[in-house]
Amino acid sequence: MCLSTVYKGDVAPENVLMQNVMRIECDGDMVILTDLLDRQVAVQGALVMADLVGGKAVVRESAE
Amino acid sequence: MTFASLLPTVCRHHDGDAHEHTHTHAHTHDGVEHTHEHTHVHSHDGGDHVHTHDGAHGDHDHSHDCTHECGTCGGCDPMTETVALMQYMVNHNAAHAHELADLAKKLGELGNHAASEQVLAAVSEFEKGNLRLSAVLASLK
Repeated sequence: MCLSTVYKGDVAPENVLMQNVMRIECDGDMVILTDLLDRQVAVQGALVMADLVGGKAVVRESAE
Repeated sequence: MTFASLLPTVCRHHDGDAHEHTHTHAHTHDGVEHTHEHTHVHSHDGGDHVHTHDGAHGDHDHSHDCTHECGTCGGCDPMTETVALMQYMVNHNAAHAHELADLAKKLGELGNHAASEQVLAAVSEFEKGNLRLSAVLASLK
């Protein structure tokens, strides 16, 4: 139920993709993040992990 | 070969000066969709905002036009974002208070009435705190 910060590759401040993420959708090879204000970021890749207690998730981008 | 997916991309750390930043976009090349990052320079009035991009590109060399839609998402205003977060937290706390009350009930059913009462007392304090947050939130709206 808590909001999460989603990172690209590794959990590091410089890798933050989006904060206050309330929804993560995986649609095929797209990961779509939606934040509290309904803003969206779409990344081609896969959800690697979601730490629901720590409020962290990691997305790995597909190779170009 | 054109931009196929124009999901808005949030850009941060804007101070009103011309600057450079990086976006990740979904593109379609001959029916195959992928994302990649690119960097460009532009200026605007400041604050977080949403862009949409349009244009054509070949391989990974491309140019595009940006239309800035500041003010359409509410994300440009830090106060709007703060109030939204605060509203979420107040609701979140209320939900947790209910969950803790359920835990107190469970402890009572398990025979630990002292612990149940302590948890209920904690819930009461928790709700008082949340009420104070609600008052602050109301004053911000």
